[in-house]
Amino acid sequence: MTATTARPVPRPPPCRVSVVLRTPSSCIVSAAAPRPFRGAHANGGAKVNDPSCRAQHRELPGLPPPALDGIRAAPLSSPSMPKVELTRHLFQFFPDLEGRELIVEGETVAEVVSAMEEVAPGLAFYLCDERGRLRQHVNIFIEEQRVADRDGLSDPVGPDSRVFILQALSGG
Amino acid sequence: MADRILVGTRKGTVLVERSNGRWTPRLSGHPGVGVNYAARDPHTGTLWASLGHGHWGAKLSRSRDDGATWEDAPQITFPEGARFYAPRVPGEGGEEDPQGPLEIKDATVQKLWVMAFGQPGRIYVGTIPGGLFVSDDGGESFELNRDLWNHESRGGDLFGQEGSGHTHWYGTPAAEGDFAPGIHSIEVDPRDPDRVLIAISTAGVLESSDGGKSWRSRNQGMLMDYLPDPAAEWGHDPHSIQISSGDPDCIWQQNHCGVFFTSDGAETWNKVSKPDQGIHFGFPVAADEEDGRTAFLVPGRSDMQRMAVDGGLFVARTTDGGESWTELREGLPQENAFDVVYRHALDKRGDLLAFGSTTGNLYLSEDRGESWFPVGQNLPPIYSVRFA
Repeated sequence: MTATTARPVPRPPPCRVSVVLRTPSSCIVSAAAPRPFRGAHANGGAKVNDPSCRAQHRELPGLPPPALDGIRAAPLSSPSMPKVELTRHLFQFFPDLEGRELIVEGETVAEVVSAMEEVAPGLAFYLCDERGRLRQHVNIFIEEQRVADRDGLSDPVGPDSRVFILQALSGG
Repeated sequence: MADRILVGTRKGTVLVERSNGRWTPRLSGHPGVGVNYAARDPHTGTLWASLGHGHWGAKLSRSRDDGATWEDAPQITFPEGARFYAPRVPGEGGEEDPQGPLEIKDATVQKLWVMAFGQPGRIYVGTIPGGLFVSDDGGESFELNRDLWNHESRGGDLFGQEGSGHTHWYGTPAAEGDFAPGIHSIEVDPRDPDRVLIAISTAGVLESSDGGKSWRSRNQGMLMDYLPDPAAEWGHDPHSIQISSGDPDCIWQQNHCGVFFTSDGAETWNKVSKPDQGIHFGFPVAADEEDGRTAFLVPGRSDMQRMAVDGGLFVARTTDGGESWTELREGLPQENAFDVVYRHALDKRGDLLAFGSTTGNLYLSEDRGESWFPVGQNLPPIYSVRFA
């Protein structure tokens, strides 16, 4: 038998994201320290009964540190800030995300997933395999449009987009 | 004597506990999630479960409080550049073409299929598509064993290279997605932690004597009835192997093509099936911990009809290395039984035996198989049974 090389699988673009998470109290909490998207979190994923799955307070470069009352001025630039809506089936594994409004920074779906990984370590490996490809039975929609690039998640995301992360009917 | 059984099922991890002489099952964790394998680390007491989320992929889970709560463990991932030869699925393109070209695919974890525990801190995980992952820190991190992954039988080093262009590792029907091979048995020699035997569907049995740095085939005497050369070195489909812990040169194997036994540490295998008794096809095998010539099986009718033999469920026991077999039926259904027992769903601990089936029945024996009683009969399909 002879081997043929399959078409190379596109890798997700390296992402440098900063995350801004709006809590239900409308207090803007900032998180910085952008890091490349990886297919799996290296140090463990969801803690089903561990409440420590939270965004960490870190400074965004070039921006003032958070005020003591937790309210900060809006940044001068206007980054793309899509809103992410998760299937409730993920809250079983990431209970701290339930009931929270998730607004993250990202210009592509891959960047949004990276940003969500910052918010909930381990989440990316639920959505994607270790090559960064969207899992077979997971769907991501931008508004009502299913993402086209399931291998690289390069679909662009608008500044006020709603990004839906859902489980497919298949895979159940 | 064990008082607890960990059961991996299609819908979660079930814990069966004995209290006042009564065994009672309860759901311990992972409701609604497929649990391929669940076992206890004998060194730390940590309970481990390998999950198969239909949507979210394979995940490793652990409990450090005896099953009260479970958490995602550090996850197993193939490193960048890990690839495998993917044979065409039989029937793809309209016709099976064993001589057709192979495709090289990126490796991702399809299934976390089995776990084994070596010396303190050493944990092995066998996967589909055939990666062996090893931890030396009690499961805080895992690495792919590259010496096995790059083995010549698998096609050589495919990290950035084309490899040999050939592979002797073929797919397993247990694969979900790519028709890929899988490691389902990992046996550590109790005398020497550096000696490990693994079994792969579909490739055969391999042995390492140096802690996984090098591997060789251990398939002599095994026979196949689906390839032109029944005694070829590779291409075998062992369904499960188990070392007798008290007599480690004795190793038992339930193969797709019969039952095999070795008393020389896998140098040579001997076929010990008894087809006229229905002892030939099946998935699991349990070796006695003290007497290496004693073992237990739960036979199935055949590979073409995977169900209980003639509607009657029985456990087969040998005490003479497979020369003769006893059918143990007391307490087991003898009519309209369609139970199939998967390769990890039979276990033995002292006088106790337990097995679980795809029809959700869990049976227990407290007298070395002489008699059986049901512990659960409405459980989900059972994937693994391990005394804990």
